[in-house]
Amino acid sequence: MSLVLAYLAVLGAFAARWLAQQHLADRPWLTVGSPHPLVAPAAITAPTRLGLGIFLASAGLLFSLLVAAYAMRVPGTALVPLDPRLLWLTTFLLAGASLALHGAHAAARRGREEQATAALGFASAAGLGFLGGQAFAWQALWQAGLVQGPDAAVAFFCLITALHGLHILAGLVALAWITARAALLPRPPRLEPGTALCTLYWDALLAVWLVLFGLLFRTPWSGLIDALCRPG
Amino acid sequence: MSDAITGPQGGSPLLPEADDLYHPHSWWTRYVFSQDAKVIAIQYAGTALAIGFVALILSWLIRLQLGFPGLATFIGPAEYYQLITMHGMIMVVYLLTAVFLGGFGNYLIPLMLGARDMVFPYLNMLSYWIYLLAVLVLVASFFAPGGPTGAGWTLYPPQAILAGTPGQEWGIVLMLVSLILFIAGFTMGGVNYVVTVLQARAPGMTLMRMPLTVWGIFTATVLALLAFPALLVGAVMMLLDRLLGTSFFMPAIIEAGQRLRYGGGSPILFQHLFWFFGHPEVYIVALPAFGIVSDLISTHARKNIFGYRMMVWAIVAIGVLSFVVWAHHMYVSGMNPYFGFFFATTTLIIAIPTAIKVYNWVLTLWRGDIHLTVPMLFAIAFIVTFLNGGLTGLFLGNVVVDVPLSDTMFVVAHFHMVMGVAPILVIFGGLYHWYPKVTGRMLDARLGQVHFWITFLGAYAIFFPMHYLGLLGVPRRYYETAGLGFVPPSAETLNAFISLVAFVVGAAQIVFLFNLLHSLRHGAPAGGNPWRATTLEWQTPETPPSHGNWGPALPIVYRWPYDYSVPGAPEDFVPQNQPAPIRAGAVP
Repeated sequence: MSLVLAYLAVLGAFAARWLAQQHLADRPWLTVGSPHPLVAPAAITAPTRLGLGIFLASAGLLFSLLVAAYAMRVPGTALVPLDPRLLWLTTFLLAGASLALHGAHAAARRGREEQATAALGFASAAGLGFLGGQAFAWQALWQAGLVQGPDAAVAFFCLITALHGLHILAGLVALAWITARAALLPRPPRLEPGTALCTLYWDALLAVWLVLFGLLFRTPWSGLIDALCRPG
Repeated sequence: MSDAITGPQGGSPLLPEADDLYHPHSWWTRYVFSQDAKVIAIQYAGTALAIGFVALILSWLIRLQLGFPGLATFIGPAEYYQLITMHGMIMVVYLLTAVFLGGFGNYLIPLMLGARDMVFPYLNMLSYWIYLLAVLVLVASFFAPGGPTGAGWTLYPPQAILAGTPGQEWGIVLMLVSLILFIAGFTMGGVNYVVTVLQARAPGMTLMRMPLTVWGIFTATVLALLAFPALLVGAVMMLLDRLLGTSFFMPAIIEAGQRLRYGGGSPILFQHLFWFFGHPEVYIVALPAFGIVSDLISTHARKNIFGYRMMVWAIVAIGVLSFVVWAHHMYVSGMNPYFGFFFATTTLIIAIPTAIKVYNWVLTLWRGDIHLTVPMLFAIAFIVTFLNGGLTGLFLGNVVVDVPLSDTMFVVAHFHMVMGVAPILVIFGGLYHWYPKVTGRMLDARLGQVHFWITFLGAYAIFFPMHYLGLLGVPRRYYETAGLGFVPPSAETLNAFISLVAFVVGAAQIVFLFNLLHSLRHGAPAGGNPWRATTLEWQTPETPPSHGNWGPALPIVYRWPYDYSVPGAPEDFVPQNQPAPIRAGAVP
C-alpha cells in the first residue's frame, strides 16, 4: 500500500497548499462587510478543467490501488506471457495520440481550426490503434486459456488494461464528440476548450499507462516502480 | 458599487445569470429528468428513504428471528444471512450515503452558498439516474434465482462467491454490479459538489463564511471520491473471480472432495480494499451529520457556534485521519503486531478532533436560548448517541479489547449507535428543519415529538442491552443461539425484549412517513424563514425556492453564518446577506 499512501500524500500536499491560501485562521465573526473587490471567489481554473482534474485524481487512486493490489498478490518475478514488442507499439501509439492532441490544442489556440481537426483525427486513430493492440493482447491470452486460470499476473494484466482501456474509450468518445461538433454544426463552437480538456485527460492516461506498463513488463523504469510498490 | 450583481460586468462567469440557466420546457424535464439540484435532491432523498424503509422491514425480520426463533418459519439460516446482508448494505451505502450527499448535498450546497445551481447540472441529473439504476439492480436481486447474497455486508471472500453461501449464483453478481453503478453515479455527483463549493460561491462567501453543513458535505465528498475507488477495485476483482474464474481473492479450495479451479488468491487483499473504503465511509456519513447538527444547534439555541474555526479544522483533520485507520477492522484477520499498534494509535488520535466537536456543541448549548423544537431534539439526541457510540469505539480501537469482543453483539451495538442511530437522528433533524423550505409547509410538531421520543428512547432500549449481550459473548451473525452452552438463557429473554422494542420503533417511522406526506397539503404555512435562521437558503425570494433560486440578483454575503443573539440587533439574528451595520459604530 506504500504507493497508495504516497499518492495520497501527494494529493494531501496539494490540498494543504490550497488550504494554506484560504485564510483558515481568519476570525469570520469579527469581519463584517464585503470583501473587496466585490466579485465572486477568483476562478483561476475553468470549472470543467477543475472537475476533470478532480475526476482524474480519483481515477488515479483507482489505478494506484490496482498497482498496490498487484504488488501484494503477484510475485516480483512473474511475467505475462506476451511479446513485449506489442505493448511497446501500443505505448508509442498512446504517446502519439497525446502528442497529436498537444498539436491540436496549439493549433486551436491559434485559431487554426482545420489543422486542429486533422490533429484530432490523428489522435483518435492512434487511440483506436492503442485499443486494437490491447484487444489483440487479450485475445492471445484468452485463446491460450490463461485468463480463466489462477495465473495472477495474467488476470491482473487483463483487469488493469481493461479498466485503463475503458477510460481510453471514454476519451475517444469525447474526441469524437468535439470533432463531430466541429465538422457538422453550421456554427461550430471553438475547439480550444475541448482540446485543452482532452489533452489533460490523455496526458494523465498516458502517465498511468507508463506506470502500469513498467509494472506489468520489464521496462527501463520498472526498477523505480518496483521500489515504490515493493519496498524492502 | 451596487450591492447586487445584476449584469455581466459585476458577475462571474461561474455565477450565471438567471437567463443563462438551463430552463425546463416540459413537465418531464421539470420534475422527472430535471437538472435542477433541488429536484434532484428530492429524488435522491425520496429514493433513499424508500429503499431505507425496505431495509427497516428487513431489520424487523432479523429481530423476529433473533427474538422469537422458530416463529417465522419462512426464515431459515440462508434467509437470515440474506436479511442481515441486505439490511447492512442498504443502510450504509444506499440510504445514508445517498441521503447525506445526494439529498442534503444537492439541496443545500447551491442554496447555502448563494449559487443558482450546481456547476454541472446535466451530470448531476445523470448521477441520480445511475443511482436509481443501482438501487433497482440491488432490488432485482431479491427476485433473482437463489435470492440476494447472504455474504454479510462486508462481502468477504472466499465464502461470498462459494457454493453454500446464499445468493452465490445471482445475488452476489447483482450486488457487485449495483455497487459499481452506485460508485459511477456518485463520482459524477461528487465532482459536481466539489467544483460547486470551490467555484460557485456567491460574492463574499469566503470558505470561512461557509456554514458547517457545507464544510461537512464538502469534506465528506472529497473522502468519498478517494474511498470509493477502493470498493470499486474490490468489486470488479470479485466479479471477475466469480464470473471468469480468476483468483484475485480466492485461495486453493477443496469443495466436496474436489479441488476448485481457484488458487493462490488473497482474501486479506479484499479486506484491505474493503476497509480502505469502509472506514472513510463512516466519516462520509458522519461529517455531513456533524455539519448539519452544528447548524441545527446554533439556530435552535439562538447562539453562535462555539469555536467555528476549530470545528472547520476538526472536520478536515478527521477527514485526513480517516484514511490511516482502516486496518482496525482487521485486528482478528492476523497482522504484524506493530501494525496493530500503529492502527490502534491512529484510531485513538481521531478521538481528539471528534471530542473537540462534541465539546463545542455542548458549549454552544451552554447558556443558549434553547428552543426544544423537533429538529433541536434530534440534534441533542445525536450528540449523546454519537458520544455513546464513540466511547465504545475507544474500546474496540484497542487491539487487546477488540480481540475478545470482535464478532460479538458488542460490535453490532457499537456501530449501530455511532453510524446507524446517530446519523439517522441527524437525517430526521435535518428533514424537520429544512422541510419548510422544501415544501413551504411545516411538519406537524406534535407528531414529530411522538416520532422523536419513540425513536430516541427506543433506539437506546434496543442497543444499550445489545452491548451487554456482546459482553456476555453472544456472537453476531448467528441464526440462533439456542443450545449454545456459552449463551445463558437470560440472553434470549433480552433478545425478545430488544425485538419487541424494535417493532415499536419501526412502527414509529410510519408516523414520520405519514407526517411527511400529510403535511405536504395540510401543514401550517411556513413562510420564508420559520426558524429565523441566518444562512442563505432561508433568504430566498420565494419559498420553496424557484428555479435559479435567487430571482434576478444573486445574494451578496456580508458576514459569517452564526450571527445569533447579536447585541443591539433589531432581531436576535442577522442574515448572512444583510449589509447594514447592526448599530452605528458597532461593526468594523
